[in-house]
Amino acid sequence: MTVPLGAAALREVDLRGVFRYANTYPESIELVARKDPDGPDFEKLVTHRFKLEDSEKAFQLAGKTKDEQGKLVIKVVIEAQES
Amino acid sequence: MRFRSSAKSFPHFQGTLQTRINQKAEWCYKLPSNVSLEVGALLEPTGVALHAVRRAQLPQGATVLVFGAGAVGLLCAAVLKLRGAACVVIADIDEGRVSFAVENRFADRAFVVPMKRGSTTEEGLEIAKETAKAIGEVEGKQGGAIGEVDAAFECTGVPACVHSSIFVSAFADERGSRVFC
Repeated sequence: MTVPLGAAALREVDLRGVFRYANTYPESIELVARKDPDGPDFEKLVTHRFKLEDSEKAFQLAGKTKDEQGKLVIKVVIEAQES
Repeated sequence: MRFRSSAKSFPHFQGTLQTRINQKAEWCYKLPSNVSLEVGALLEPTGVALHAVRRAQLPQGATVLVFGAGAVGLLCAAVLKLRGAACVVIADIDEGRVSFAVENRFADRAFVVPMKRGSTTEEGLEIAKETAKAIGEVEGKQGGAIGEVDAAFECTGVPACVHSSIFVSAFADERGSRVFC
């Protein structure tokens, strides 16, 4: 990838990478547990659900941006039910 | 510790598509009763978003840009909003996605990125500058254009978006501005 480093330097832009995380679970739980009417609606992110045996379909859909009905695909969840 | 959710290491470690997993108690966190298992499943990518926002050390009342309105971009936007960013602008080529972000309160402002590609590196950089300029014209919460942003979170991996992120960020505070890739 070409990066306009000169432009970044002149604008005092620091480029920072993000790949992992550490010590985030307690705070993340606190963030999603808020039921603030002005806050983001995390429940809406899960747009599609599949059973474990339909995992292949789930992965195929997860690679698309819209489903066959034209509905947005954001997060596809596989529900593993214990038999 | 071995990480189950990444295909980075080879041979791959058995993943999380299992009904039961043995996990060390010290690495378990209890979900409160008002958090569904589905939202619980989002906590892993939310952790990445939170880690990015922590690394940003944003100035108070920051105006920020998130490139990409997929799950990662939306989670970054959400964490930014909940962690005090005054104005979160989300940009994507898909109008449906940015509308979704604003309607569900993940972001404050939406920007639809025009599809335009340059045939040379120079042309590409010019287009990225134009996109950055257009983003700067988005109206802020206090009225008036946002101009430049304090930090940009690039969640697409598309080089043109990295370029625009650089061109739209500048001089946030004494530590400068930051772009996350």
